[in-house]
Amino acid sequence: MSRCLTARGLAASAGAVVLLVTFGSTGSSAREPLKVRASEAFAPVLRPALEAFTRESGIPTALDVREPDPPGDADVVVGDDSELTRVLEGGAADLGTSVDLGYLPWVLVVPAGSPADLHAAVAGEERLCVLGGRLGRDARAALGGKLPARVQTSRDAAELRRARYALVPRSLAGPGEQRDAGLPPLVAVAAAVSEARDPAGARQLLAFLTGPHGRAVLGRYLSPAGAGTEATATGGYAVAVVDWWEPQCSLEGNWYTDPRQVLGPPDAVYLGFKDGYTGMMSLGQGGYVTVDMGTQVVDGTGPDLRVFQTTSNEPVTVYAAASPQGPFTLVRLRVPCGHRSEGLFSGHCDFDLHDAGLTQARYFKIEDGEIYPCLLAGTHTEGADIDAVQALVAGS
Amino acid sequence: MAKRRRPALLSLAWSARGACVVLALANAGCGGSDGSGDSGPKPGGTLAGNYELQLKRSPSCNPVGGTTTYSFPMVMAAAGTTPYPGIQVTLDNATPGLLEGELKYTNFVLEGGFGSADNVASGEGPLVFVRAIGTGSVTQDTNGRGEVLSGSLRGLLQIGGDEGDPCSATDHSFTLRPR
Repeated sequence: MSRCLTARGLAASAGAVVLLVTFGSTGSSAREPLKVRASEAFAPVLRPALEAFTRESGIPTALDVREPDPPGDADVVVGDDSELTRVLEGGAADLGTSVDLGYLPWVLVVPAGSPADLHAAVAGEERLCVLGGRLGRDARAALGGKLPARVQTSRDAAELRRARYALVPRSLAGPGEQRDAGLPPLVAVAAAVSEARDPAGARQLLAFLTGPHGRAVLGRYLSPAGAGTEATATGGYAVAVVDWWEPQCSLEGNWYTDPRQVLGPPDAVYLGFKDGYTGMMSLGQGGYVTVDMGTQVVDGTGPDLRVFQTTSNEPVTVYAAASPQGPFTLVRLRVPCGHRSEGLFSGHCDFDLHDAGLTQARYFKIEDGEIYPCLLAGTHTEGADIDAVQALVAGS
Repeated sequence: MAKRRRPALLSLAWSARGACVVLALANAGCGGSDGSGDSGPKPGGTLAGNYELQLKRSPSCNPVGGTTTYSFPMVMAAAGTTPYPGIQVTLDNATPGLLEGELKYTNFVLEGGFGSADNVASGEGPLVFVRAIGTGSVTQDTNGRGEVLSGSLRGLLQIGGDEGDPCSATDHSFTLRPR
């Protein structure tokens, strides 16, 4: 296997790295540590926060560095939206306790003074070292042809930091020059595990992480959460459903399949128990709903359409047409849909008609982009959960 | 939890003209011209039983392991009629849902999502992870069975396991042929 070229030469490549770091006393007579599971990207973010929590509360903690799905014997899980989707929707972690800790940007690390073009910057025999695992896969897929051909993945934090050229979350960046990677930031989410051995300790830790002291410590890497776009942009909401479909398998398993729930302003609510929601439509595996916006949506400056999606950032694909029968033109494919909406339970994602080469459209097909196999469904909300569709630029 | 369906020897077609749903042992059709003319395969056919699914990566993706086409033995069955007729296709002799297609079938066109829960070994060897939407016209083979000879596929097709090469594209393709 090829390896990341580092400042010290070739470093050992690693697959999933599992580390268990304990903070505070672990003596036989002491309290069992509160177990926190987080993926590699968030471990450097959490370590100082857990140390501070232990100092402040006297509760020892143990950080288990691995993907948070499944949560295993953890009391608290921390991960990106995309890592926690099924943990939260499936009830392994308690959605009612989930909190946003902040945004963690992706950066490109290059030697200072490297050419602006990445292909030119990664010259010679050197490789671009990219975080492995699910997060890295999504990043590599999103950047596609923008990446140089010589890419090597690693989940070893030390190796990633040593790499001369790296595509990593800011928490894993080494000493080189950091550049904007052109990717949406990771969203750090924390939640108590439903079967936590120490639920009170879990709640205490979550309260600390979202309190002033915790935020200050996390702020070394994370940008503040809650800085999402306001939900009330200009334009109206979808006024009618003109078509919809989801597979029979999904219809049998999903509880929320009424397409009319996507009409009007966002109003989805979590009722406080597993699979308990109102005001949304779960699309199932590859299902869709097509809506009439009631007026032409015109391509303006910036995004033209907003889709509100409930829980995490399940991907959404949008197509647009001038008539309800189509033809429908793809606007964007499998866009992670969980940008935070101020004051709303649902997050959102935005679409620009310009991406489809269209100047206007009135009918929009909103399609599930998660495409998780229905027969392995573990929830009653499979597929992207659509709350509302809003025009951001309304024409006459 | 949804249940896996067993394949049924039913033919299922949907005509736009009359929203005609046919469940019959015979080939699909709602009367009148099938629009195919005298040349080329006829649309429709029996969609059930054993199939081979081939997923082909977009030319824009990096080549991996010397092949761009990945094959899987599948089992197909009718799946629902509301709001449209559907087809379910699952990996043969495997955990239900390890690789699954859930497709709408209207106007002799199959359209829907192919998803894998994990990496799946292809007939060619490489592991494949897919989350993509496919669209393809259904025509009859010489035995009257429906097949997709050239379908488009848009979404993620990753080859080579967790640290393999992910490629998101709108011009992947697929075929579904009787076996």
